[in-house]
Amino acid sequence: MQKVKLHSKIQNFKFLIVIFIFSFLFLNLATKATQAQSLSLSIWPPLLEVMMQPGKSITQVYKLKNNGETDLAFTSSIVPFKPADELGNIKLENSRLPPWFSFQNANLDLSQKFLLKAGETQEVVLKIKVPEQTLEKDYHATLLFETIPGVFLGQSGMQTQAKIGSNILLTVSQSGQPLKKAEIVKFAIRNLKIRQLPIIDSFTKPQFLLRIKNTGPALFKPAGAITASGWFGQKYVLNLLPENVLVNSTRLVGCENQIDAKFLLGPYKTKVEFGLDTLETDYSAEITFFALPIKFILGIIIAVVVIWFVKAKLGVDKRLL
Amino acid sequence: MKKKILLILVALFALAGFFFLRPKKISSQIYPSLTSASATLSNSRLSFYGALDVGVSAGATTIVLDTDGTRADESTSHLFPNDTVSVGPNDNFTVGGIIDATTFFLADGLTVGADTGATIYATQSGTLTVAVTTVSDIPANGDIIVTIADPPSGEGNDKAPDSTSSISTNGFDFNGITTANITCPTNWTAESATAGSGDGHTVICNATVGTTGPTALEVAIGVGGTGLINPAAVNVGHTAGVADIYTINVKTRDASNNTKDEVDVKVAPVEAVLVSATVDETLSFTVAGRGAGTTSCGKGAATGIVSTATSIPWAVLSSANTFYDTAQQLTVSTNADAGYAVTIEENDQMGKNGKACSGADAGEAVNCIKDTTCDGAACDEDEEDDWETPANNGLGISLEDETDSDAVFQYNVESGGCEGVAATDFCARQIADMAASETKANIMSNTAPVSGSSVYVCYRISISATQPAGYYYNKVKYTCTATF
Repeated sequence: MQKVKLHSKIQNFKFLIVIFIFSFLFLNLATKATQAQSLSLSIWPPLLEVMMQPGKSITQVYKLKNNGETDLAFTSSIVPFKPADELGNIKLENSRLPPWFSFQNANLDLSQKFLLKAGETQEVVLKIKVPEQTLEKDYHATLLFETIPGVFLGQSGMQTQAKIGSNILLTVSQSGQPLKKAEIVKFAIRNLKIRQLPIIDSFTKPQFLLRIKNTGPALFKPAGAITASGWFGQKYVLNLLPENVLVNSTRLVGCENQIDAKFLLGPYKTKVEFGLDTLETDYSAEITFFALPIKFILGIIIAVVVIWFVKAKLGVDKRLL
Repeated sequence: MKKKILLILVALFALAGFFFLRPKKISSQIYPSLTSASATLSNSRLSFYGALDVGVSAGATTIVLDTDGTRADESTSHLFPNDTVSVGPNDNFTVGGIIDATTFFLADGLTVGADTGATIYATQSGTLTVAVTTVSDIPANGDIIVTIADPPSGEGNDKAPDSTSSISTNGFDFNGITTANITCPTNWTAESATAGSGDGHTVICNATVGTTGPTALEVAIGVGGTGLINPAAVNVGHTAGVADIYTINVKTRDASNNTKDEVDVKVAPVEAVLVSATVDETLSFTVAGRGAGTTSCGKGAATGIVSTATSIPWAVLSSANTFYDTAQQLTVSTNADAGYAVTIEENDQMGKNGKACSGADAGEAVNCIKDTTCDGAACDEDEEDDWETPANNGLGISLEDETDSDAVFQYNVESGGCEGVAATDFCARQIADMAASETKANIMSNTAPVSGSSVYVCYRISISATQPAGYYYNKVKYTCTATF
């Protein structure tokens, strides 16, 4: 009888262990997987710059990778954009582009849904075919890949989706050398010390503000430099960043480097010179700024005032004594 | 009639074909004298000029390029299969293929070894055709002289491409060109072809019969199988895909060598990038949920609300005039020079059972949870304001930099209408409502490459006691794109 009871206890214990292991695995591993879930995408290349003749076509391979832990469904689209600001950001538009864009994949068309398993990469071959008689100008678009959300029922909430896009800067030109024109909207010093006077502190590196407007029919990259020349023959050359300036837009253009000096003194004649896509001096503007040891002088003045005040105070105290 | 039309069509087609097939003219700088000046390279590809990273023995086929920063070409991006290269003392070897950015292989093994630093070059040569229209008369025995940019003395006629630190000192290799390789205008004869020594190669065509202006003249240099060798890129400051521009001077003279007309024209050899330049960069974007017990924007996730990468499950909002908080984490990496931007949008405001919420401020009266207008009734998708009073109901977001500083505003930093004085602050914005045609706003951006730049997007919701019961939901989209 006791043997039967013992056997029964062992059986119950075994059952409990199985339940415990099952619960442990389910509650821990399953929960961790949910919490670690992320939606992670990569795209290559993120920017494509193309110049094409009307009537020609090109293909470009794009790679979309699902870096997350779960399989994802996607759809794709081509959406026109225009510059959103002067920093190179885009504003996607609701309008449609002409049907020049298509996928060359055997089993995938543009806008068609597709599944991308976790860790896998989908290559798509984008074909751009510009018809004959196409107006010679710039066309800007973004190739977007968008996740398709699953079903979301039974509670209040928000479904989140991710879109990742690659910008396409397409110039249609018969000659391959479209007219390029620019205008320097502003060339100035950002960090002026005394209101609007062109004065900076000697210990401060000047920060230049260069705004370039594209007044021609095709995008360009400024190629040139800002040169600051001091009284004593010092010369500092700051190369302009080759940033795209789109048609009818203005772009803040920065420099690749900064003035490499810890102390500046006196007037600095500063000239910006650049060409459009080629290192020329077709466009230029000049300003002069003064570097003065303002902080140092202020420190001296404060020190003199303090010393004068202390001396005066000591003089009064002595007289009182 | 049909024949005439056909004739006109054929003529037009021929004219179009002429313009299309003719090699493109490089920009010309026109001076007051000679007009319609142009210089055309039949092959505008820059020559390749690099060096061997490590010495190789006879029979070697794998070649690694030196990348010490002093060579015109330090990558294989400008070298293609079937190009003919010289490796040290080994001439005329064929490139079999490209292995990676700095390594290529030859179709056949080298005949003799080559030392570390030995020159590797692939010449690109062709015909330079100079066309001008004269203004002044040129008498018999007058001439036209073409001066071509050349490298320093001793290097300009060794049949190898040249590369110096600046375009002003670099130029074409004359490649042993003689008068036999020059084509002069009709009734003109090739008088001389002289390799330069730092002051320009010169080619002179002599007028056997005088001409009156305007007369179109054309001189071709490098015909008959011996072409002018294009320079390699300058080895300082050259950008791949951007042409190096060289000047060709054209001058007409009388019989006493007095200048009659003159013009500078330019040629622009460039790497073999024809119409397309792809920026070899990547962009990665990750959305992740924030688990229970985490803190974002100074707020712990509300009990029972655990976000995932694809949802913000508010579950049951049981208390009125109470803030419920949760968050997601966005992470971006890109090596794009100009950086990236992430925007946020919602398809509509949160509607009961997903119903449409007409207008940007549709509220509980029409079964919607409106987007917050914050405490000062002043925030929208572009402008932030403090939102710390739960009785001001709605849905909004704030941001916190997790790494770097790419959030366009932060929950506890003074900006817009936000005071940003305390850690308990919640500086908020709306999410752009696409149904109300609002403009998607940036929430995260950088104008330079970033590695793992991360921001918390903190969602907050509050409802009134009179909000109709039901399931409310909408869709939020993040869009990540590279900056152009």
